Amino acid sequence: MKEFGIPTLACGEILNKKIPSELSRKNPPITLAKVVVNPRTVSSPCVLLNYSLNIRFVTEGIEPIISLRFQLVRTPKATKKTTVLEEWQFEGAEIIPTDVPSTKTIEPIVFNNCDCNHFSSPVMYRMQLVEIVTNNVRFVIDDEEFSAIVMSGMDQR
Amino acid sequence: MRKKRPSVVKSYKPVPNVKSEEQRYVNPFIACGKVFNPVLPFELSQDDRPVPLTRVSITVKSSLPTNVLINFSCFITSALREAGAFNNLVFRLVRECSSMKVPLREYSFQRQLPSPTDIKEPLVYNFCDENPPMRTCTYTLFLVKANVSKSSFYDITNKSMTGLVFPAPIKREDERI
Repeated sequence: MKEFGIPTLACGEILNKKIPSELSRKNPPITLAKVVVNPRTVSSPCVLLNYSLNIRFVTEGIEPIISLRFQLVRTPKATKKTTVLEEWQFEGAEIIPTDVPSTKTIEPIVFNNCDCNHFSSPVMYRMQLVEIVTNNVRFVIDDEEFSAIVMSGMDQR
Repeated sequence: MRKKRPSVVKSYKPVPNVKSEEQRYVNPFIACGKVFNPVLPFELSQDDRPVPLTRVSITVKSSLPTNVLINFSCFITSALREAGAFNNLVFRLVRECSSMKVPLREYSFQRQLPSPTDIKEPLVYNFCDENPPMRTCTYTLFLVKANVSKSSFYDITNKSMTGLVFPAPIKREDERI
């Protein structure tokens, strides 16, 4: 174990920011959660990121739409250069011809990413919202959780 | 595993100091949880006794900062038999160290659909517990609320819980970004 260094688990920070009902890509992204790790404590490091949340939404009229685009970004301390690692979308839409009573949904979501890289310094990972589109839907983001496991990925190279 | 020192040292080799070695780092480990299969109540209110679904106990043999990642997964069946029928469930993750009980998180699950629907969905919850206060702690996931509309029903199957135990990263001022 020691020859590869000691693996660690870092619990991330949830920022609890106010989230608007619309957000375009022209706006700066909203950071939801962040975690800082130092992958250099193990040899050939890989970082397993785990982000989970509940999306709670209520439909309030005809043709309800909810579309949320998330991105995971990495910023090394040394270069401060931010790289988008992955983008993903949550979408729900229903074509309802007549007026029906509102429906309430809580959608649990888990998102993982495995990042094996030639890390040269500590890195910060951030989960961000980049785009929000809604129509006749009210939503909140709940129960967020962000963590990072740093472990050797010896067989990867 | 408690390492026993030999009662008689026969050779003149120095006896490695096992204790200080163990203190220096924690080997990461997985604790598999227990799964309970209680009869699920049709109605359960916050005043009723919570129904335990899964439990995992973790003992860390080091005083170094340690973080625990709790993972719970299951399938939820919602049989919604009329338009606008709903299935509302609330889960609670509780940590118990000695007799100190702390609710860590409450998770709500909710389904309500405009037309009658039978749906079975996977559910995963993760919780990262930063350096729990004691070396032996038990984490339990309870069902604390169930509210299902008339003539509909729900089920919770394939329950699983694990705890991943890792050393906490060493926080140093120069590692801030």
